[in-house]
Amino acid sequence: MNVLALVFAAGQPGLPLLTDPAAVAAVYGSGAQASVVALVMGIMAMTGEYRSQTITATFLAEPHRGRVVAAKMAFFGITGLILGAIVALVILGLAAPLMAIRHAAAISATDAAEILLAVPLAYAIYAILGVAFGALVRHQVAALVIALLWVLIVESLIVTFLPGVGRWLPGGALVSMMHGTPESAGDHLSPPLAGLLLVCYAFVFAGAATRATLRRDIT
Amino acid sequence: MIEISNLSKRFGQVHALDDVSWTASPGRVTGLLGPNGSGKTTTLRILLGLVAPTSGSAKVASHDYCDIPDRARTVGAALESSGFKSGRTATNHLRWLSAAQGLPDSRVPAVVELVGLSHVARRKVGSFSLGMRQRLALAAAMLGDPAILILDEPANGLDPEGIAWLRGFLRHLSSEGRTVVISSHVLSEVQQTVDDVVIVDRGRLVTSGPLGELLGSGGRVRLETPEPIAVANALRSQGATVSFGGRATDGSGSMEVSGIDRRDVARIALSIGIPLYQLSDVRPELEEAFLHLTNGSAGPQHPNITNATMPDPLAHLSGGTQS
Repeated sequence: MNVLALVFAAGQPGLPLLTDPAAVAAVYGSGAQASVVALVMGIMAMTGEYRSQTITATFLAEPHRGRVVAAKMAFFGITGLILGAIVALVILGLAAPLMAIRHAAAISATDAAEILLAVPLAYAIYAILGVAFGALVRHQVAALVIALLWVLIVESLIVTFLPGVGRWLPGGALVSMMHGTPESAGDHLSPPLAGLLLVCYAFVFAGAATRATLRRDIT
Repeated sequence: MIEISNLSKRFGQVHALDDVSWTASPGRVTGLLGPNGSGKTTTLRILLGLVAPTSGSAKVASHDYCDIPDRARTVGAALESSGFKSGRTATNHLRWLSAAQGLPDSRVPAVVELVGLSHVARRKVGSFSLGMRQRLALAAAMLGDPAILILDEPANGLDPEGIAWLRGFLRHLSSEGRTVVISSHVLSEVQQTVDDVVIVDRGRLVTSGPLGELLGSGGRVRLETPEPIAVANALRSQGATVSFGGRATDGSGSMEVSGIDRRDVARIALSIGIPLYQLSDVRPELEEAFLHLTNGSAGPQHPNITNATMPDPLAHLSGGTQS
């Protein structure tokens, strides 16, 4: 929805035309901002087991809990990848003609390829982060509230007002991976580095989640 | 075969289990009995690898739960709080569990039939009564046709007919040579079901062994005689403990005697020339033996304890009418 808003805003009379290539890429990449959807999906999947207490049956069926956590991450990572690919394709397919009508700068083939790579990656990583965070917190409502407060308020404030710190956070890395926003390009990591940082976050959270799940009693 | 050895578990400062050891054998139903909070569920959860013991071990078929070869066919479990997605049908719930354990779907209708849920197999689990959920949990435990069954409070929520059915079901399973362990805090429900008992209280083992031995230890004799005082004196002189029951209109009285065998009571009465109208063993109830062993800490399950600790609800009313 972000995309359409920006597209229409870009074409409004009185507003400057969208001609900066970095801004164009950011518009296309803004679908990645919605990867909070993947985060919520991951959190729901893991905490749902605790909420419905099916976690007991799950661990009775597979007492090697590391495998259970890994399997959930793999499944929702792949689901995130597919979801992200669909979002990327929809954005490219929908935004291109709309922006052409308003004489915005065309997106380069390289940018399009990057979006097709980065958006699915962002969704996959956020789904995995969601599963991991859910495994750490376990309580469904608490996990959702904490995650959404963080992503939508705390993190976005830090990214906006303390970009030097914010670019090292997952949300900041996400923005960086999508070329950032043009006026603050200097505050961002390079897209490959940002992608790598996100992958590292996924590994760290996955490790912590597995460790906690192995150590805890299921009562 | 289940072996619990020197098992201890601490939750923070709380000693949920303190050096508990017992075994459950094939072909027998073992009842793990104790009041709420005595550590029954904790023991079963340690046995099933859900809770890590602080020290000691709990082995199923000589293995830790997570190392049991061919686990699904070796051990089946039904825990009180093992959940379900309420929107799933009974069949789909079981299919999920079956798939997760690598078992064929073909077992699902078989276990549904086994626990008598065929008529509701396509209904959503959320609409099930507590008794039906217990049967569903039992069906899940039977998916792998396991040699060892571990059931936490399986009689909870069952109506009298359901309890009778469960009794027959468990007796049948143990007669096939399976090891069956059930936990319960409602002793009257399990007295006719279990072969062996393990009694725990406040995290400690009170006693374990065959039910018959446990009940035999507290045996008493009831008798009725026209000369209750004379008989009581004669029995007391032989070291027996006598408590008097009611006195009938013809002057005869009944009493309960402990610390002496029924045959010795008859001989003593004969030696002083007083007839007995009645002479019988009183089989103690499991509940009574249990309370005796746990020193009454089982609390409100027992009517005497209830009367002693609960204020008479009418006391203030009678006080009010007097003023």
